[in-house]
Amino acid sequence: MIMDRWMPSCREVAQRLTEGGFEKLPWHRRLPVRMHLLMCEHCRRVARQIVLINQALQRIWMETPDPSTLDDVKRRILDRLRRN
Amino acid sequence: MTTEEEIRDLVQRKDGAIERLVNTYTGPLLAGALAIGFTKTDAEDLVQETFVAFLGAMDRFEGRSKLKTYLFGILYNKAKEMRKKQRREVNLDEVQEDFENRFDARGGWSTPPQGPEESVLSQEIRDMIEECAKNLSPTQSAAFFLTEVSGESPEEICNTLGIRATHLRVLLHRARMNLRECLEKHWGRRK
Repeated sequence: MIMDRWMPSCREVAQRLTEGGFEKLPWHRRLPVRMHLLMCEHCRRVARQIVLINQALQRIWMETPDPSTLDDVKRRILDRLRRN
Repeated sequence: MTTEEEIRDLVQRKDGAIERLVNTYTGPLLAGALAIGFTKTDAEDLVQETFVAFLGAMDRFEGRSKLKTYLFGILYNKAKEMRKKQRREVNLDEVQEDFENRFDARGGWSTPPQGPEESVLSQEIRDMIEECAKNLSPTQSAAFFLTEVSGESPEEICNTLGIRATHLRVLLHRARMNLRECLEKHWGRRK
């Protein structure tokens, strides 16, 4: 089938979605992946999970350390640097 | 304040220059150290050592990267030294093999992916991902942290970690695949 020739496989779609930078690719490279996602519920699920993973880690890593701990750490580091 | 001004003030030992340095960069550096798997105490020591190393050799900073990126580079290299004795990097080939095993010869899923179908991040999923992130190798975490949280450009990240662009893509791919597989397992095990 002619579609098979330009439609990426699930493996290629998973690779594209996980290596990052997908949104920055030119439209003609994004389009086949989007077409695949429209037709493939498995890859749609993976695509959603990748978004959840990125969001979760952004939040987890941005929220640590909490501001009060951070102030203590800054104070201790400054004290030690001044002593050096 | 530009990077040049920050450095000039530090070299001239101007009042408040070190305070500004510590105030500005402790947060991002500490978050980075925690993200690559250090405990709170070790992370603080690592950030402290990063500042000491930077202040002792400021003349080596050529201003080609942002100061934050440069400091993270020092932190990452110090972290690697500390890690050498502690933990070996995960065998990356095994991770890739797991990935390949998920697909048949034509590149379709051999076993369909499972796990959450939600498109909104719940506390439950977030907790699972936090747990899973502990299994990432330090280099995978560093690449992921710099890309998703610190918002550095791929070129800056490659410089900081001392890797090529292709290697960075592989690291990110493996990190995300790892996390997804782990999330799927946790999801399958829930009550």
